This record gives sequence, structure tokens and C-alpha cells, in this order.
Amino acid sequence: MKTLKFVDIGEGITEGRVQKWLVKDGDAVKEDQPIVQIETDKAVVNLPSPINGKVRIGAKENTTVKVGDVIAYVGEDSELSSIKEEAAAPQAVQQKQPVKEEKVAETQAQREIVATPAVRHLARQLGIDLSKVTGTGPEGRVLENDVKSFAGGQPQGVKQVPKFSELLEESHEGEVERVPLSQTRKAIARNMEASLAIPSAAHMDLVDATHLYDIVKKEKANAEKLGVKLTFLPFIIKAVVEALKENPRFNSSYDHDRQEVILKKYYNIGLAAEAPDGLKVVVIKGADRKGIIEIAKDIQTLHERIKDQTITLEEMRDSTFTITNIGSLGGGFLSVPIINPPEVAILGVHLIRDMPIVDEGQVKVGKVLPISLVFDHRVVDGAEAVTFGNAVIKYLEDPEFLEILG
Amino acid sequence: MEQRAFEGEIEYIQVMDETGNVDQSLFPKDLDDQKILEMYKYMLFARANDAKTLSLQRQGRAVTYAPLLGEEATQIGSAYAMRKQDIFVPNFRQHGVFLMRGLPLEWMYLYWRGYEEQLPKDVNGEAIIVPVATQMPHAVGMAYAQTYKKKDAVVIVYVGDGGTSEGDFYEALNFAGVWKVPLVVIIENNQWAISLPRGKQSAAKTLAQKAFAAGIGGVQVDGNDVIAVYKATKDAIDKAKTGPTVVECVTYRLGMHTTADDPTKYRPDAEVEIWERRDPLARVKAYLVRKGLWNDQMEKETSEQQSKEIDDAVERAEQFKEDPRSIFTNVYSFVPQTLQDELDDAEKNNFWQEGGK
Ligand SMILES: Cc1ncc(C[n+]2csc(CCOP(=O)(O)OP(=O)(O)O)c2C)c(N)n1
Ligand SMILES: [Mg+2]
Repeated sequence: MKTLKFVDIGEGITEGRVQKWLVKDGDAVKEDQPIVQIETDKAVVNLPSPINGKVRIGAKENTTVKVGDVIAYVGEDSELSSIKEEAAAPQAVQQKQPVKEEKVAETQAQREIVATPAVRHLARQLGIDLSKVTGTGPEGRVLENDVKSFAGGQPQGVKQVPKFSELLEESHEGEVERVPLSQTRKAIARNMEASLAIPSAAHMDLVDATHLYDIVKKEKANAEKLGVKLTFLPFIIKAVVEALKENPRFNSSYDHDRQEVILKKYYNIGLAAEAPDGLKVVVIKGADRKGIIEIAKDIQTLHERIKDQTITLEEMRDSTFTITNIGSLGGGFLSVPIINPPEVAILGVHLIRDMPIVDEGQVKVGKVLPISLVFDHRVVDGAEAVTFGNAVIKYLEDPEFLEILG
Repeated sequence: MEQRAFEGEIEYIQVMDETGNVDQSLFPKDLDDQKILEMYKYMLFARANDAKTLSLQRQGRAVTYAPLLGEEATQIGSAYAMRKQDIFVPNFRQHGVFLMRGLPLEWMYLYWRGYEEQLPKDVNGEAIIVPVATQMPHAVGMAYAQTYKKKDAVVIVYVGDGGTSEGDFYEALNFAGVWKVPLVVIIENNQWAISLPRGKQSAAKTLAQKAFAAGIGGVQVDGNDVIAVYKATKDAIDKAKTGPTVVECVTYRLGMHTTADDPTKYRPDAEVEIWERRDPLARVKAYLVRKGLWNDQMEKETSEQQSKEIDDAVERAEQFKEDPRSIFTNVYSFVPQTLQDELDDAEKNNFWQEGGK
């Protein structure tokens, strides 16, 4: 019988995940036949059977295995039946036997200290006697972490570099003023920092907004009779909701701890809005069930509440996807907005301008709306972003779709 | 006044096309069907060994390995053209060349278990070299030594498409051109340098044309056509006395860069499928079958026999008992006193008994 253990199948790999068994427990397999797929942070690889025989699965699908863990046994029936249950389950291997560690600690004082110049330098900086530090590296080598944890996890004694703010206040005394952040700005700062942790990428495109422009112009008067000021935004929101339905991953959150995506089957569209005390995101709840006029009304009310500062927390939470209308600020061409966590994407819509549009070889003047989509690359890829962007464009350029809404 | 200061052309040679049809006008006079059959068997053998080493690596029985899958014609065709006395200098992917040159199989498997002391002299090759293109200046120096010692040997050096962007490559070619050394540079252009495609490697239309800057001749061949590779290498060796030649073999890395790499992350399957249709083995097989020299039964028997040879070699390699003394004795062709002292010291203090194995 042979044991198939998880080894470093790349370079410097310490763990992997059993993605898929290619054979069933008890199946007969041939030498070199791929029997299991393992995913590491570098690659998905097939592990082959070391010999001909029957398989006994050691590590189940979706379990994490460390280098040295048993993945499978291959051998004759009689040999396999003697494997104990616990032995079959993957166990983290003990990297070092404690006995050996004791020996290292004991002889540390007499023996030569093994440490790299960088570690010795750190020890000198921290004023630490290296002979007192237990090395956990190979053959008792003292590692950087050993020195740091000996120092109490904190590199004390390292010369304190004065903060930039102290330097500034010192050199420009009387010429600088400290202003505390408002609660809103603090919240923005926190959110932006959280957003920075998202590995994001951007996708940009242009929308031919000629139809959209015409329809808004046409419907403006009707809306006014209902006491509503009609803008492009309600149409954009409706197009986005349709695109979200077609591309559900853009209407989700990423659960980092469980490495899962939480898909949301409700559509609350956040709108970034500039308030006197900083950026706020107001939310059109259930945008998929609302008509254009209703959405326009919502936007209007929410903006008024922001202006007279009567907006409630409830009106600013639980968005599933955010749109930032940079065009409404009156300038810019394309921007790269920041994702509003815990969402996975944000759409920037920009100033609609008269621009040349080439249609079947003819240049004509059209209304062009630049859009940019920033997305969480852990959850979606560029190809999906393009698909999503194309869906938004499809709806915004489709006179029938717009007509129905209007 | 205005006149042309330099003129150069790079020829592309293909003798056998993807379906196994041969252009008779280009067929090398010194080749015959028996020799083609022999090369085919070596190509099969190279592919079988490759698959085995990959499997062993996945089981923790071999170290990081760079597969040759897809590049068999480039390696076997060029190695087949070498004469006994010629010396080859590999990078890290030329397992097929080692095979052709008669490296005992178990020594190959020992190497991939981490024991590098096993390179017999009569293989006439250098050890595997990983730092990209550093083998180029070595090879030029070795070629110069052949002239200097008045030896009738040619040095054949292998370099990847990626390697041709290194300074070492250009410097080596420059020296080779100035000294007119007996050198053949095989550019094993497999279209990828890890994840960097050929298109981003160089704006030059061919890699062979880099030879011009050094005043050397160059030629490009279908690297999946074992006959074209043989022909170009043979011609280059034949005229090596008058100076070096660059032979660019246009082939394709069908597998991963190394066992630590996952090409599905950066290259489209569609590209791989195109090259799978240009498989270097398939066309030779078609040719031999049409000539009545080969059939599926023979292929099956050959594969079984090769598998057995491979399994025996793996078995022998795994039985190998290492000698820690080789740490000291395998450095130079002789053991200098300083190393001898260290060796004595190590033995006296039971150096490898304590921490070892
Ligand atoms: C000087 C140097 N730089 C980088 C590397 C890492 N490296 C190993 S192989 C390789 C790519 C080599 O590509 P190519 O020359 O085309 O040969 P191939 O791997 O395709 O056979 C790189 C960048 C190295 N070994 N040496
Ligand atoms: Mg390459």
C-alpha cells in the first residue's frame, strides 16, 4: 500500500484545498492516473496515483490540506481495511518534534548563535542579547520573528521618528490650523479605507445617449405637471437594475471569511450625493418595483432632506449597488470612483456632451454619456464587467425600452 | 551618395508539413526512413519520460520540473544532428537532448530527485542552467576553447525565446561573431517565457535575425518538424568551422512553464488547441504509417517497452543512497586542499550524521 500525501507541488506551497475527487472511494486506479484535483494559491493541479490498486479517500472535497497531510491511500482491499478512521482524516503535521526544540533551547547558550546580519542588526537596535533568544529556524537559527516576539511583539527602543504632523506644526507654527472631522467625514474616511482593501479594477465605455436625451426632454413637461423634476438618473437606475438582473454577481457582497459571494435578490440603488458636510449615499429602495416617476420623486425628496439635513440613517443604508452621478457636479470626462463596501461595484455616470458619433461611416453630432464601472476583482472579472457594461448600454440606447419607461 | 549598407534575409524552412507530406527538394541527403523512425521513437520516449516526471513531481517524488511537451521535434531533431564529440549546453528544458545523448535514464530521475552529481562525461553536455541565458557566454567560451585546442568539436547551445532578450544573449553572440567560434545557437522559441507571450518579448519579426547584429548567419525553421530542425542543425554544424549560426526553431510549449505554474491563468485554450493540431509527433507518425513502417500495434508495443524502462529507472533512482561527501567532491574536477580540509572536518565531527536524513 502507498500513501498519497500532499506535497509542495509548486514552489513554497504550504496548503491547498481538495477541489474535486476524480475517482470514488474504493475505485480501482492505475499508476500515474490523476485521482484528485487540488487547488493551491498558484494553480489547480491533478495528483496522480503512485501505484495500481484501490483508492481509499483520506481528505474529503473542500477540506484544506497542509503539506504532509494524507490525501489518499492506494493498495489492496486487505491493506485498506486496516486503516483506522482517524488515520484517514487529514491532520496537520507537527512541523517539529518538541523533543528537538528542547534540545535546541538547552544548547543555545553554549553554541554559536546562528542568525543573518539583518536579524543581528535588528537585535542590536532593540538592545536584545541574541543568546537569550530561542531560534525557531532550521537548526535553531534565530529568525526576525523570534527577535520581535522576544521583544514583546513590539520593536521597542527603535528610534521614534517624529510624525509628519508634529514636524509640520513645529516648522510652520502659527501658520497651520487643526480642524476636527465631522461625523460624516469620519464615516467617509472609514468607508474609503475599507474600500481600499478591495482589489478593484475599472471598466469604461461610452453610451450614445441621443434617444435618452430626447425622451427626457419629451417627458419633462408631463412630469412637471405631477410636480416632479425629471432627470436622466431614473432611466439610468432602471437600466442598471435590468443589467443587475442579468448579471447577479454585481448585486452581491463578498464574504471574505467564508470565501463566498452573497447574492442579493433585492435592488436598492445607492446614489452618491454631495451634502453640506460631505459625501452621502442615499438609497432608492426596491428600485426594480418602482416606475420612473416614482424614482424621480424619491430622488427629489431624498435630495431635499440632505439639503435641509433631515435625512435619516434608514434612508442611507442597505444599498446593494451604487451609482455616482459625477455629471451632476458639472465637469469631468471619466472618473474612477471607489466601491461602497460591502458592495462589489459602483457605476460612475458623467456629463452628457455633444460629441461626434460615427454611424455607418457618417459622422454626426450626438449626445455621449461616458460611464465607468469599478468592480471587486475577487468576485467578478473584466469579461463580466464588459458584459455588465454592455447591458447597461444596451438598455440606455434602446428607444423601446426607454419609451416603455417614459 | 546613398547606398545600401547592409542587406539580410531570414529563410523559413519546413520539410515535413502538418499532415506528414515531405518536400523532397529539401529532404536532407544523409537522412533515410530508418533514421526518421529512430527519431520518432526518441520523440515518443521523450514524451513518456516527461509525463512520468510530472507525475512523480505531483507525488513529491521529484523537484520542480520544466516539461518539454510539444517541443520534442526541436530537441530530438537538433540532438540527432550532433556528432559524438560535439558538446551541448542546455538551459533547463532539454530533457529530450539529454536522452538522445545517452544519459542513463536513472541518472535523469536522480537529477529530478535533487542529486546533480550524475552527469557522465561521454554525454558531452553541460549541467542544467536555470539563470536565463547565462549559458550563452559559457557556450561561446567553450566553443572558443575548441578552436584554441584545435579540436574538431562544435558547441550547440539552447536558449528560449525569453532568453534572447537578455544582455548575455547579445554579448555572447557578439563575441561569437568576432571570434568566429564553432557554435550553433538553437533558439527554442516555444512562444512563451513563463506568462510573457512571444509578441511582447521582442518587436523583431524573427528571433533569428538578431544574429545579423553580430555578423552571424541565421535561419528560422518549423520547430515542430523534426526533419527541418535536423537539417538546419546539421548544416550549421557542417559549416561551424567557418563561424557560428543561429537556428530559430518555432515550436510551442503545450504544457506549463514549470510544475509551479498554471498556464490556464494567462493563456487562452484556443491558442493551445491550434498548436495541438501541429503536434510534432503526429506528422511523423502519419508519414511512417503511410510508408508502411509503423502502425498502432507497434506504437503500443514501443510504449509498453518504454514504460517498463522508465519504471525500472525510477525504481533504481529511488534506491539510490546519497553520499554526503559529494557536497565537497562534486565541486571541481579535483578536490582542492581547502575543500579536503572541510571534508575531513565534517567527517571528524559527524557533520551529516546529526541533522541528516
Ligand atoms: C536571469 C533570470 N531571470 C528570470 C528567471 C526566472 N525565469 C525562469 S525561466 C524564465 C522564462 C524563460 O523563458 P524562455 O527563455 O522563453 O524559456 P522557456 O521557459 O520558454 O523554455 C524566467 C523568467 C531566471 N531563471 N533567470
Ligand atoms: Mg519560451
